[in-house]
Amino acid sequence: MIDVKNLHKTFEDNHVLRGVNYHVNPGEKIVVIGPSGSGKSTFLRCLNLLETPTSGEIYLEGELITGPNVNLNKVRQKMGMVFQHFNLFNNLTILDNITLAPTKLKLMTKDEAAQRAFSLLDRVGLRDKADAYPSSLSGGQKQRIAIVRALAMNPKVMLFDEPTSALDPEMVGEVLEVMKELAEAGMTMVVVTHEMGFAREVGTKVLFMDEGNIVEENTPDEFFGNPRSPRLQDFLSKVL
Amino acid sequence: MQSWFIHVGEMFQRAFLKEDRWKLYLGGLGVTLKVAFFAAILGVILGTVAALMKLSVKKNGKPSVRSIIATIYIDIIRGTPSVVQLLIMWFIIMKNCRNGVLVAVLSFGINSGAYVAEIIRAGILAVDQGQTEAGRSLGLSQAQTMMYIVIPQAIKNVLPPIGNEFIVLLKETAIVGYVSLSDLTRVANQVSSRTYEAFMPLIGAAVIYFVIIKILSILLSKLERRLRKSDRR
Amino acid sequence: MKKSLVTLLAISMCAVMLAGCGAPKETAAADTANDTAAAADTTQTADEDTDQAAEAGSAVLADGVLTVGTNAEFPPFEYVGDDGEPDGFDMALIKAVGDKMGVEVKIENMEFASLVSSIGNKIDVAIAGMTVTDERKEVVDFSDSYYDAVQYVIVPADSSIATADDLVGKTIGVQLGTTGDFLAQDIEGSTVSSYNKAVDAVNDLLNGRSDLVIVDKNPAEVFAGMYPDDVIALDGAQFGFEVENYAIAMPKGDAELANAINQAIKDLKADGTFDKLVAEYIEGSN
Repeated sequence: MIDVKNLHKTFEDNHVLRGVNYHVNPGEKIVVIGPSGSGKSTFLRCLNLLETPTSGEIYLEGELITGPNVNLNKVRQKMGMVFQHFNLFNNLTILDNITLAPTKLKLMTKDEAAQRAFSLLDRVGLRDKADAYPSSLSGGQKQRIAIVRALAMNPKVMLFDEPTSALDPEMVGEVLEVMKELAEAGMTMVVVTHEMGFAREVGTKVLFMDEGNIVEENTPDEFFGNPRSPRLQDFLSKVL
Repeated sequence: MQSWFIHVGEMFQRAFLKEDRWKLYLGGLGVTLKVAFFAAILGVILGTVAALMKLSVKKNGKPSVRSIIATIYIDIIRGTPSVVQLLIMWFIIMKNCRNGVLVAVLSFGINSGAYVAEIIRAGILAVDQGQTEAGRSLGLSQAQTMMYIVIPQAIKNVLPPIGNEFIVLLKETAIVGYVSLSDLTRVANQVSSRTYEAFMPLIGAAVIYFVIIKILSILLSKLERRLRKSDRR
Repeated sequence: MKKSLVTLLAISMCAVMLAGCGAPKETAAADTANDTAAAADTTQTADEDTDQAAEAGSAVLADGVLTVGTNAEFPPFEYVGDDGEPDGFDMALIKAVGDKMGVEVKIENMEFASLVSSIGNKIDVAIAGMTVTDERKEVVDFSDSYYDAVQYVIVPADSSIATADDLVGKTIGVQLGTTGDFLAQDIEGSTVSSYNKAVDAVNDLLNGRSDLVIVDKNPAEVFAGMYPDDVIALDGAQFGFEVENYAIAMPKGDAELANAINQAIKDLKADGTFDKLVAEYIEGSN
């Protein structure tokens, strides 16, 4: 589904990604963990080209998306993204947040988009917030709406960039719950997170990134039960 | 004391009532408002375009040709006095145009556009980068993201400084007398050149400017308050 | 606390402003004399000061400096010379007058329209090719006339304007506050475009923004000489404009000053200096 080949990313003289290679199969739930500054968020943001890779290739469903004449907007329609800080559109109601992209991109009529929005809002239990503005919502509610907003585009893949890191502890659960349901429904997901419990429970694969590279990759049981590299052992001893 | 009042009364009579001179002030105010109003509209349009041009970057992060053009425009306009711009517009660029108000509107509109561009640019930059990223991540184009998400939020940021720019613009039109337009300031000068008294015409003009600007600023703060209300919903 | 602070600020600002205004005056005696003259524009006060400045005989002259206002936008009578200082016939004349009177002449270049209202405060007298009019006489006194001028009409070379009737309803360029400005206002149905400088009015005539320009004879001839193919200068007499007299404007009621200036002009005419200046500045410029 996603193929990453020798991905490099440099910010001025800071070499953040140093030749990452990876392959994501349809239906997989990849959880990426690692210390801060390891490049895991940059890796995720390169996948939908919010960051332009310095070199390397990324393929989505066999199509090269890092080439010169790629329609980025079309590519991004297939990849939903959820941000650490929600990034709901402050000037729009919840319903408009969800329906803006599908209608403006002429993928759905206004009615279709609203219908889809309401059924998604039902799934996360926030139908009554449709006419509210983001500023009146709690962090957990905002993040659930952000997930709904991404899902409204019917993406092939969902990317999560530390979706619970900015939340008060009591709200983490409600967001993880939505993500779990999404996983169970068969969505392909790449999740950067610090939630080890989520990684163990939901992940099909867990990646450990450090210093711009994937250091270790394994099934959750092996990853947590039998870490091989000293750096991962060291990291796990600190976070678990 | 009493004679002083009579004296002031006579001065007032000469400056405003004699030969229906108040009609001159009214006409002058009309010219001032016409020039300021249309220049403000032109300034906002030019400023928005220039701000968006200046913000555009090439894929490699370097400034685009459009942004360089906008930067040069803003630099030149801000780096030269508006009265010189007006004289150049009047005597050189549009020397055959007989519609004085039109020339003044163009000159002041182009001038104001440069300042408005910087205000709008700052207002856009003040909108959280995450808003743009969210828009782009959904597949919206740069233009769509600007149009539906960033600019509506930027408007709230820029309203106070734009209002200030309108006020500056209105006062700046006082230089159109240089090119023989009879605006409020020029009319005051014309009257004082007839009566040989500067006091009343100038004080009168000052009071009229002040009242107009006071009204304008009240309207602007009302609008501002209404926009902020929608924020709190 | 706040109030007293504001008061203090206001007082100190006034002090600074007064000091700033007083600064150009050299001596304390001159200072008082000048301030009195500026404060009261009646002869009585001025006369009371005569014993203080016995030699000059006038409050205005008490400090030995005659501050002269002009508007150096009116060649050949006054213009900014190559050295950046006002030059021209009027400048040469007033300096010669100052020499005869034994006072130093200091020139202030300002807007023509504000000359008359500045007499008695910012300047002592004004010389700026200024025509004697009844309106001006209400506010200031004039010296004997030193030059007779007539307003001229500048029109495009192909214009058909030739008589007073042709002026009706036209767009007329003038310099703000000049005689031409007044004449233009009185013409029926006219639209008057007033400029800070006569040359701007002529420029807009060339640009087609106005139908004619009314200015004094000499500058009109200068402009016609500059653009011989484009414009012609017509004698105002053919439009019924009356001959005007240029004179020096001075504070109302200061007879001593008027006498001193008139005597100086008379002397200059008698000793041939005046004719020499006319030849040098006015006739030489055509």
